[in-house]
Amino acid sequence: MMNPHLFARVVALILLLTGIFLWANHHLGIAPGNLGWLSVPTAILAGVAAWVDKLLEDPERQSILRTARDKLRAALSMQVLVVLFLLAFGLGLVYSSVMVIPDSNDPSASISITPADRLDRKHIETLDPKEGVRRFRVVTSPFGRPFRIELEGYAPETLDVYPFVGLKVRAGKELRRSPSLLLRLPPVAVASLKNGGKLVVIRRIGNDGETLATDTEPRSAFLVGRAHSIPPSSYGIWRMELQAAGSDERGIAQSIMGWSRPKVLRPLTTLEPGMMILAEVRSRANKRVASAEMSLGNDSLIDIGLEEVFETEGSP
Amino acid sequence: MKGLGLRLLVLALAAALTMPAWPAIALERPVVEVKLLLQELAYRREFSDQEILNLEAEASARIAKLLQTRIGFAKFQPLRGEAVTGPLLTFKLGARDQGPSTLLKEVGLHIELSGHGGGGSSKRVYWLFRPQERYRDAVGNPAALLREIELRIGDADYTTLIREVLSGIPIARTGQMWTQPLGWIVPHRQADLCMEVNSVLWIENAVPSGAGPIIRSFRARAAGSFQPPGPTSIENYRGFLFSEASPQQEGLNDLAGVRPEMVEVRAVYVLEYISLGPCGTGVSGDPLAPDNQDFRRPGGRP
Repeated sequence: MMNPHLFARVVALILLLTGIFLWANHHLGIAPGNLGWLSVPTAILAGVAAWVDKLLEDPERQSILRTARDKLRAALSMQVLVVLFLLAFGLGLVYSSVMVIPDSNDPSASISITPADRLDRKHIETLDPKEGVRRFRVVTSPFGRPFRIELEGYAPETLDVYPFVGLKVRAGKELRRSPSLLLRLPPVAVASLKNGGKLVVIRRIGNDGETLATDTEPRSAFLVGRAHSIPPSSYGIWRMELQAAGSDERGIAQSIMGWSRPKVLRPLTTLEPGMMILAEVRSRANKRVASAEMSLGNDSLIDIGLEEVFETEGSP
Repeated sequence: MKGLGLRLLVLALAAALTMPAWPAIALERPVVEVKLLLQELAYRREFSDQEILNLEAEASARIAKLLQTRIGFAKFQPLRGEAVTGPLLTFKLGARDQGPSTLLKEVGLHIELSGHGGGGSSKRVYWLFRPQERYRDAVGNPAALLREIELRIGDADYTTLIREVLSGIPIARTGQMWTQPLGWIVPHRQADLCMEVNSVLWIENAVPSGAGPIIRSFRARAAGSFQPPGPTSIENYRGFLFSEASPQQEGLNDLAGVRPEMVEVRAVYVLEYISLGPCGTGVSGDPLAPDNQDFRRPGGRP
């Protein structure tokens, strides 16, 4: 008969192990299905124990049980249990995780998770949606710690990570899709690209600028940001725009065909609503051929037509 | 032997004494300066300012050379510097006027005559350079654009250029009327003008009348060299181009009744030009002949 104190301590231990298991399941992704490998040694151990039990005489069996009970009682002392609880609780207060659930339709993308108070400690990994949920272990604090989460194709967000519960981030819900910028080029700009010109997309920061993307391929349209389908309503608007410019049916067809097949450009920095963007096509002589400047809004697809620059300028 | 020499000397002296002292009246062909201006902004943006200057100078030289091979009644030379001394033939490479919002533009050469001695021609000629659908094509580097300009000008319709534009340049401001048959002697040799017979000229005359000299202009057809069978009072015109008056022109009958020496030829223009063949070689030793020019340097000579 087990000592009632010992029974309580075993129950407390089981509760502790259950808590650790649940924590590991939530933060490390260790699920019951992941412990299947334990079944074989457990079965072998049980078989060996049953076989040994049959070999032993009652006095021997009682002696072993008594010894085991004494050892267990000694090991599961109150002090040990308290230390184990405190240790588990303490670690649980400090270590937590960020669970990222990608959109299965997205391509592989880079993700970075950075403590908002230590931006130099940027942690970047590649996220493959085919792998499903991805967990990132982070060091937090008892009252939560803010982290900046940047997933390619989505607007960056700063969210708090709390102990025990952690943070669950779903692409498309907690993270808003970043806007994609469809840049439509006039024929004169396409001709300039064919002649050795280049497209430059710049983020305006005050008087400075950060180059987000460049390309020299002679295409009629570029999609800066994540791939995005073009809404059918755009075709009608483009047609009207071209008709107003006096294009004939052939020219309209050529332009719409070119604009409907943009080349996707990945910007060096994810586009965010509110960014000021300058897009320019520069000639081989580095003169401005066509340009557009815009502030990004909340729409998922921002459609901009670059306009020919009529000002003359000297050589740089 | 001695007697023969003496006779020859006497004959030579007699010939020298009896020969009238006619002044030499052969004229130089008019010099037309040629200039290409790269006006199309879509093209200008593709080149640096220095490249544009070089390209314009080089293209002007090449156009002048091409014109010289096709047209012999004028000397074509690229404009050097800004000072225009005579007629200036400007080729403006620019878009056809299709409105400012047009996305696809047709680009062509707008050719016009200006400057001194350009006559009264105010018309312009337009030669297609690139059709609308080629507006998306690359302009190319300066060398490629030059080649394309040469190609377009080589293939162009010179008849219209001459009739509409170059007909404003007088090839002579003097000449002599002739009555049998009625026509005019132009003080240029046919070979110098590289002009085939049946080319059409426009002769402007000051004709005496009861109200004083009045200006009358007539069409005339180049008919060959002036080679009358006997001696004339205008022997200094012998060998020059004779142009016969086209029939059924207003005032032509009145002209027939006027003494030729009373008619003052004011200007001779070319309306229709038939070339004798490839011209361009110019007069031997002519420093303006295209073959004698160095087109490698903008506006430069060897």
